[in-house]
Amino acid sequence: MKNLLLFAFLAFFTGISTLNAQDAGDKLLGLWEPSNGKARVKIEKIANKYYGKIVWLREPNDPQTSQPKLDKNNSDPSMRSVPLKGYRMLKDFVFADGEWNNGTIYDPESGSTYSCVIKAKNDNTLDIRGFVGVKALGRTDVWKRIQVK
Amino acid sequence: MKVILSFCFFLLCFCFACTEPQTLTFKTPPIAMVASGPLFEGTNTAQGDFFPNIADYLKQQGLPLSSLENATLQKVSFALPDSLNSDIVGEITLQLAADQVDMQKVAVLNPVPAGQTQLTLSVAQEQKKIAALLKQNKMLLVADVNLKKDLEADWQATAVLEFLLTIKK
Repeated sequence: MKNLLLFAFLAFFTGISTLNAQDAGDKLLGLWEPSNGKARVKIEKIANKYYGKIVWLREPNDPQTSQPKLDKNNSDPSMRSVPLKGYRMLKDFVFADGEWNNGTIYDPESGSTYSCVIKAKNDNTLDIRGFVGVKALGRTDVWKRIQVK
Repeated sequence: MKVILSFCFFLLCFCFACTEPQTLTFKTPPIAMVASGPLFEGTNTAQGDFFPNIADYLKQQGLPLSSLENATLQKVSFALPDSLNSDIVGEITLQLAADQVDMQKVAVLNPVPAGQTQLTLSVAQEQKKIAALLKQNKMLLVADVNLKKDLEADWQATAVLEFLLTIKK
């Protein structure tokens, strides 16, 4: 009986801590703006991972074509007709140990994808670090939350 | 000597023919895709789940799961309940993902032709991890649907995917 109670007690608190971890991870959800102000990215959760897609562009049209901007720098020519508005530039982030990691960030201006880790400085500021191979060899950008009225 | 050489040549040809990979086509049943309304103009996410059960499919062909060497997506088609669903969509981009496999962008249609109930998307030339996705219990289909105007109701479609499986003997 004692063992059963102990098991129930542990199961209850393990369940609560898992839920708390998920809730803490969800503070990434919302609308964010990179430091250059060129785009706004909506971060959403699909299954247990976080993804961010471009929902607004300061310059939505390509100045050369006057048409909506496309992913023209993609290494795969067959995917160059994907519009940048709606593009998932943050992919596959998992929340663990207070940060979102194992994800990638895509730079549409170069067509390059980098490993990425996200840390929250506070509820409205993110440090987004893109890197190749080792975290130390990378660049950090600060993103601000956009309050939706 | 000539006979021996000819024999060796035929033996080599036979061995080569035996090791040449075989291909199979694997077509999914219609997969329901839904973006729950109300939806706003701009980019929205439609999702669908698919349980590939590729081991069972291969078993039916008399093959073990370990024989699956590679897979590529060959064709993606979307069926819409009515043409209104295509009239209000600017573009569709389809991605595949699973718990243990990163999201892969696999197909796009830009622009979406108006007045259609059957859409065929252009499939990516560069494909990665498709076999790994098929080996998962559950595969997620994530479609980014760019709406030209607000939609009160859900946006719905059914997707059918056709894969080419490379089997090693």
